[in-house]
Parts: sequence; structure tokens; C-alpha cells
Amino acid sequence: MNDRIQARPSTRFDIRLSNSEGALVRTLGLIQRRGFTVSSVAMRTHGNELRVRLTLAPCERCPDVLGRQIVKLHDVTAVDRLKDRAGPRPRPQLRRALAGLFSTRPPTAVEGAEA
Amino acid sequence: MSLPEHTPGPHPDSPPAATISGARLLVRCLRELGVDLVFGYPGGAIMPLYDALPGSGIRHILTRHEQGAALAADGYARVSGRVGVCLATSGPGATNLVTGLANSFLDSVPVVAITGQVASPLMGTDAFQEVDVFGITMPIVKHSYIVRSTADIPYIIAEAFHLADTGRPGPVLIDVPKDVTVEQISADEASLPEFIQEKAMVPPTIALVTEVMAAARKPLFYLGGGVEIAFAEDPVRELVDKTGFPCVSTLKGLGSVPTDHPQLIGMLGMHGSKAANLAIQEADLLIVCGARFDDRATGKLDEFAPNARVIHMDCDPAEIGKLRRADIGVPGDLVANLQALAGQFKADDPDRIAPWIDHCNALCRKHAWDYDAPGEKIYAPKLLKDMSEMAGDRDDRRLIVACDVGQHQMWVAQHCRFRHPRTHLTSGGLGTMGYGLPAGIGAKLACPDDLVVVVSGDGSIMMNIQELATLNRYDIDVRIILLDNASLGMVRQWQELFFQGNYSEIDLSDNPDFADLARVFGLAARTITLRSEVDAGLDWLLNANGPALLHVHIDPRANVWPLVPPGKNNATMMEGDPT
Repeated sequence: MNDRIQARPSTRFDIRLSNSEGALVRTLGLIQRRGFTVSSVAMRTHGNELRVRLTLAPCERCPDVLGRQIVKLHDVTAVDRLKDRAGPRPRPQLRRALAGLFSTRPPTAVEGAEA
Repeated sequence: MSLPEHTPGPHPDSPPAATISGARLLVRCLRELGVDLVFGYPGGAIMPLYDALPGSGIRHILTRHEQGAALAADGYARVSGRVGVCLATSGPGATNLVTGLANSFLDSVPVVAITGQVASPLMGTDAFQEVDVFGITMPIVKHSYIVRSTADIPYIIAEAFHLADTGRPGPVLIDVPKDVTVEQISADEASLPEFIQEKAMVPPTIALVTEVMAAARKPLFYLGGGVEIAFAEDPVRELVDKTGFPCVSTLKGLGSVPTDHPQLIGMLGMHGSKAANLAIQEADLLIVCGARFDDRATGKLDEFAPNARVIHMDCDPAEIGKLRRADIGVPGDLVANLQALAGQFKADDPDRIAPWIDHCNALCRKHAWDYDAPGEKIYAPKLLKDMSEMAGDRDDRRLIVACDVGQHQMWVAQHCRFRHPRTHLTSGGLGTMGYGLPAGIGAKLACPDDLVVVVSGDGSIMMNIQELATLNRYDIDVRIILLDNASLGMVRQWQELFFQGNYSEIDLSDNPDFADLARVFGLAARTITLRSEVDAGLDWLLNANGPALLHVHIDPRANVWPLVPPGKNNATMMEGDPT
């Protein structure tokens, strides 16, 4: 990993998904295929819902685009991007219903929320 | 020809019995969803489903390889806009679907694949013909299921069709263990749920989009395959006409507006027209409709359209800003958004873009295709142009061209005319050699009144040559133009241009005699070698009575021009002379 990437903050997502067959593997597989590395993952079940909190290693690619790719998965009900460890104050959380409605900057469907 | 007789079981629509098997329930669900045609290949684990098919009202097309079934379902879905369905058994049957599913995934085609699986107690034991197709296909499907209970069949089938066909379409896999299809359940449990399409919402940004469009001096529409997938050709054409803006098309966008439309500069990208690529580089505004900035379209991304602001309209929010920053992102239903845009757009000063339109027209004239190739050998671009003109594309009998992958694929895109959407079937994302013939089969079965021409190469045709038997078995009237340069032409071209002429494993001079081969499969066939034979050959092919193959020897040294070298920007196109 070069210095420029290493200087970036890690990205954290809180993902809610239905506890259906393959849902977790599908989500983690997507993250890996899109060029991100999962550096830590924690999971809890709440009835028929899985709640996954994961940290991604710093990456050149845009985590907001990844968030929109995750939220497209049929099993996923919500994606919150948590405050970056070294990043600016996050914007209010938006949920699936508002995903990518509009932006005049690079669109951010899934935006930060306090952990 | 006569086919083996089959004694049908009880009709799935026959008076309700107290119980119903999972297989019959599944078939009944398909019927209720309007499925009347499926492509497939039977085998052990899916035998209960095949037992339920005869007499069901669903026509089954037996391809000669499961990949042929998946690609035929893809072709069927592309031209019709309906969900294509393919069936395969477990193990090798399922893995043979993989390339077809990946093809549909990368080109956003609605397909439902149903695979048999070993019985539930055997799953995970390395049983005969057991493979984890659910896991194998996870990266290449929109969603997938393993049916764990017979009672889940109606919900899963209905949801799979809904997912395949809504939002950004894509393939969905349903893996059905054998015991689930054999089990009997109460027929009362067999009702099909209904999924409601979400109402399209037009984002408030449309007003801002119209302002930006009206202020642009060098605006350009950039039309992608999403237009025809969304059936958005009418609002696109209305908007193009109303604004007067020039447009360019991606490979998959060809036909969104007629390719002879005066405002269409041409296809952009690696083998696009030089005029289109130069116009993009000069534009100050791109209105991107249903396109995703694919690397083959943009060339070196950092230098693509350097002066342009970008309005990006797509049904998939994840595509907006993925590769190129959008100044305005307009996610959502393309039809609704384009209609709103067409309704609100007002050109306050049409003269502002007049110099730009003149400039684009001048680019088109300067870089028009040259068909005046020297020599007597058959010049494939001219042949394809002539074919699409001779075919007589009409509203009541459209010309549908399904092509394979390689040089001929680019020649089709460059030189055939497409006046209608969903008539140019090409494997744009995956680049699947072997796509053309099965896709043509699917297209002809979906649109029997249209003329379907498969354009293939001598490399690609051999990838799914077995489907000639499918053409013959069902007398599917597909016409095939086989452009034979006795080599893997596109690879040879790249080895010539970028690998110092070190030709490695591209020679196919030991090909079989393709005309003889086609005759063995029961097709009519002819071979032409000289330019003077082209008119008669095309006339024979287009007026044949049934499936036929025209074997065309072309110059093995012919290259596809122009060409953006890999890693270069689109303004740096290499050009060569017709050969």
C-alpha cells in the first residue's frame, strides 16, 4: 500500500441485512470484488436481521460508491457509513429510500452517521 | 423431423388436486407469470421438473449445451424485454450456465435460471453431480436462491421474476434440490404473490438539468444500453429532436436513435467513429443516458471529455459517480426522467449551439466511412453495410442482428444500420465468443416475424457450433453470415499492432469446411470468396426458405479501423486503409 493511500482514513460501515441464505457472504464478496479489503468485521443477529459492522482498509476507491453498491443487494435493508476515524464531521445519515437521490457533487447515497 | 414421443403427465392447469408436487407447482408458477418458452437441457436432478413440463403450455427448446440455453434466454430477453428462462441440471449442467449468466449480468439482461440440485440430505456431501452453483454464481447474478421448502416455491419464483425485471435488470438463479421438486404439498398453499412496481419519482433536479442544458454551447447526448433496456427510446428521441443536440452512442446504445439519424455522430470508443470521439473531447456538456463510462467507451478515463460537465441519468444510483464524477446525478426511472426533461426543456437561444452543430456535421463528413477498398477480396464492412440495406428493415419486419465477438462484432456496430431499439444483440460487457448463434435463436423465437441474421466469425462460431442442431430440430429461421479469415482476427490484429507481429496461437487455417458442416446439420449453405459474388450471396441468404449459412472468405489481414490504442485517450485514434 503506498503512502498516499495509507494516509487515508479507514472506512466503517454499519449494514443491516436480512438473515437469508448467503446474505453475509454475498455482501462481503461484493466488497472484496469492488477492490476493498475488510480489516475487521463484527456481526450480531436480531431475529431475522443481521447487523454487520465492518472496517475497510484505506483504499483509493470511493467508499460512497461502494455504499451504493452494497445497498443494491436484495438482502440489504440499510447501510450507514460511520464516522471516519480521522475524517471530517459526518453528514446526517441517509437510508435506502434516499439513496443517491441527487447531488451536484459526486453523489453520496450512503452517508456518515455517528457510531 | 419427428421427435421422440412423450406421454405427458397430468396438466398443471387441470382441476386442483388435493396435493401438488413441487415440480408441478413450479411449472404452474411459471405459467401464471406468463412464461410460455424456456430453454434448457435435462439431467438427473432436474428430472421431476422435466416430468412436469409436457402438456404444461410451456414450450421447451432443447439446446445442445447449457451455455446455449443461457445465451438463448439472454437473446430472447433482450429483444422482447420479457424475462428469459433457462433450465439445467445440477453439477456440470449448472456450471455450463455460468458464462451465459455472466453475460446477462454484465449487460443487464433479465434472465431467470433454474437449476436442479441433488436432494437436500446429500447437499454438502460431494454427491454425484453436486456443485455449489449458488456460491459459484454469486458474483454474476443479481440475486440467487436455494429453495429449502416446497411451500416457498411460489414466493421465490415470483420474487425472482420481479427482481430480474425491475430496476437495473439482471439474471437471478434458483437452485432447487430434487426432494423439493418431488415433495407433495397442499394445493391450497400454491398461490403466487404479487409484487408491485414502485412508482417512478422524478427528482427535483430536472429543473436544474434543463437550465444547464439550455446554457451549454457544445452539448452532446451520450446514449447507452440503458435506454433500450428501459424502453426509453421514445422520450430519448423526443428529447434529441426537441433540443437539436448532437448525440453519440455506445456499442449497446446503437438503435436508441436510428443510426441514420442526422444528429447521431456515431459510436464512441475504442472502435468508434473518429467524429464521435473527437466531438466528445470537445463537448462542454455530456447528457449521459443509461451508460456507465465503460473503459472500451472512454479510453483513458482521466483524459475523457476533459472540458465537459456531466449530467448522468441512470436507473442504477451506484453507476453515478462510479468512474466519472457527475456534476448532476439523476438516478431513477429513465423514462419518467426523460419525459420530464423533454417536457420542461426550452431552448432560450437556439443559435447558441448552431456553430457546434455545424462543427459536428463537418466532423461527420470529414471522417465518413470509406468503403472503397482495393483488391478483389471481400471487404467485410461493405458486405455488412450492404446486408443491412438489402434486408429491408421495416416496422413490420425488423432486421435483428445477433453477432459474436471479435472483429466482425465491431464491423457490425460500425457498418450495419439499426433503426429500432433492441435489434442489435451484442455481448458488450463480457465479450462472449459463441454468443451470436444462441442469441439469434432466442431472438427469432421471441420475434418470429422479424428477420434475424447472425453474424459470426470462424473463431466464435465454433464455440457454440452445436446449436446448428437446434436450428434444424425446430426449423428456426435464422440466417448466418460467417466471416472467415482463418484466424482469431482481433487477437491477430493486436499482436500485429501491439506485440511486434509475434503471432501466437491465432491460426485457424485448419478450420472445417463450414458450408459442408452446416449441411451436415441440415442447413442450406453456400460459400463465397470473391467480391463479385457478394450481391448474389446476400440475395440467396436473405431469400432462403429457412435457416441458412453464407460462408464468406475475407482477407485474413483485414483490421478494424479506427482504433484507440489501449491506455490512450479517444482523440488519439490509429487509422488504417481498407484492405
